[in-house]
Amino acid sequence: MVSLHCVCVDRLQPHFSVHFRENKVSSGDLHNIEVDPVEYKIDALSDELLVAILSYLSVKKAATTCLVSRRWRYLWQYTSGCLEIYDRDKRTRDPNVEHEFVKLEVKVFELNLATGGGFVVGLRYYHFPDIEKLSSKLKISRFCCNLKSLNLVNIGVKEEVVHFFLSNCPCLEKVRVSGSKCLQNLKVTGPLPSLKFVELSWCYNVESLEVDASNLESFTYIGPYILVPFENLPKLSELSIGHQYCHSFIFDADKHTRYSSKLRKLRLIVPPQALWSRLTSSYPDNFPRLDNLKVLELDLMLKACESLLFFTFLVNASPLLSNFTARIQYTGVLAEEVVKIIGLTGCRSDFNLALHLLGIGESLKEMILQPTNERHHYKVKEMAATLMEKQSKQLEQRLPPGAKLVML
Amino acid sequence: MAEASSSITEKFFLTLKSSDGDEFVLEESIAIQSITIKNMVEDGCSSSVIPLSKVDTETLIKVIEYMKMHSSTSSNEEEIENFDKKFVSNSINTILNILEAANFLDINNLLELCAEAVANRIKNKTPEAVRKIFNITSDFTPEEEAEIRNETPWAFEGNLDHSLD
Repeated sequence: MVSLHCVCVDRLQPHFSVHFRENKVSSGDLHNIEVDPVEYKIDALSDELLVAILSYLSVKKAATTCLVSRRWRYLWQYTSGCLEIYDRDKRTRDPNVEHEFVKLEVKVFELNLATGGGFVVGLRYYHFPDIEKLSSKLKISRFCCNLKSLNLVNIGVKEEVVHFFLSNCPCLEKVRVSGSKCLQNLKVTGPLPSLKFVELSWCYNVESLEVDASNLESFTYIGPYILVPFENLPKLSELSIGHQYCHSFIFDADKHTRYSSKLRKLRLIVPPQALWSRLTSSYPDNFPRLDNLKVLELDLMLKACESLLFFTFLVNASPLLSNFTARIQYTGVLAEEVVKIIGLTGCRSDFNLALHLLGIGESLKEMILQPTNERHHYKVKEMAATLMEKQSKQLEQRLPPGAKLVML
Repeated sequence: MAEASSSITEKFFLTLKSSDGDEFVLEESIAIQSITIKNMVEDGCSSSVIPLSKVDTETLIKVIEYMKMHSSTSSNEEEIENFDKKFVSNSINTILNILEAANFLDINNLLELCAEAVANRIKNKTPEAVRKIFNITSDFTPEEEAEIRNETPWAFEGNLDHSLD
């Protein structure tokens, strides 16, 4: 990152006369030294060191320093920050904001994401620009040489783009592509000595994937069924898989044994419907032992009454398991027209329950809230009252049309 | 005197000389956390005093303190963590001096520690606050400033911190 000064230069320096001082440095000495507050140092630092400092900031934060002075104006462009293009903020509906958002990433990396881009209904979506045109400009290669993390979310990224970054960014440690609709056949291969994390998720049109990186530690694939994308990844210890591929991991487990026994952390993002009909009826045959698995995480969408029991086979298969997490999201529609919650205390869990019921209660006509008389959760009665008033207002805003909120 | 001490201890001790002319004797195993010094030792240039013309006494004391704490034999993880925390609470100028020294001496951990510490002090700050922290005078004209803001408006979105601490 930062170059080493030549040692020889120092050896040629004339030796000045020596005056001795106590050689041992005791901690007592150290705190007595005061720094002259007037003597400022930053201008004396090399650009390299300033860039090293700015590299600890995100691109946006580093970019803010372009206004500090002329010297600082372009420094941030040399930082090895992360390329992150997030596009999940659905709260902003203002088309101008969206436009600004495109420009944001364009400016950072001097790419023009807007060219050839189109909006998909309900979700902002852009196409990553043609990588050949991009790479013919000098700026991108300058930016590539320091790039450690490539993170493309909800951007139409073609495999060429990822291939380009993989072969031009020697420091690349982390690659994440999520929500690209035009990614089909991806190859993460070649000498990729730095690459440790790969995530390919929610790219529904993926047809094939090939991964070969000797130092890869963590791999995430959430998407349609594909052939097992790697032969042998010696260092792979963390795996997250989801959607249809998850099904393959469970029911065609023999295809995955080459790496599954080495895993230390496994996360399964179980698709809501595809699995369930089979899940509940039969356990997978001959599921191999996960001899090194210590952490198991399940992300599930359950309907009421569905049980987690099925997944005990995974626990059975993992003799060393020390940490098991199940994240459950209950789905389904509430058919009731009236919901009455008695004994509200104003605490957060009550509020969340009410919110959740509102979320699934499409045919809801009336929600009745009856606070408890024993407000022991809050010592000050007034506080509980204000809190509940605030919460009920928030609930009211989310009521389905025609429904009303009654506070008893 | 210098010859006597170095001849007795040359296998295990190195003498580092700061730009102010002060000398410090340090165990070789501790000093070679600096790749610059390590290379010199391996090249056999370390039998005499090692002059560090770019590091002043005050900074060298801090660097030695750091290297002693981080040498594998003496301290446990928690101690090191607390030490680092305290270390980065030094004044910004001290940190910048150490950063430069760490770069010159090629002590990567120390360099990273200092670079991150400086970055943390300017994180989320307005350009004006960054200028004040580093005592930099802006050499932009108001027109240029407006133009740059216009060029990269996204960089100035959100709440930026005007304070200097």
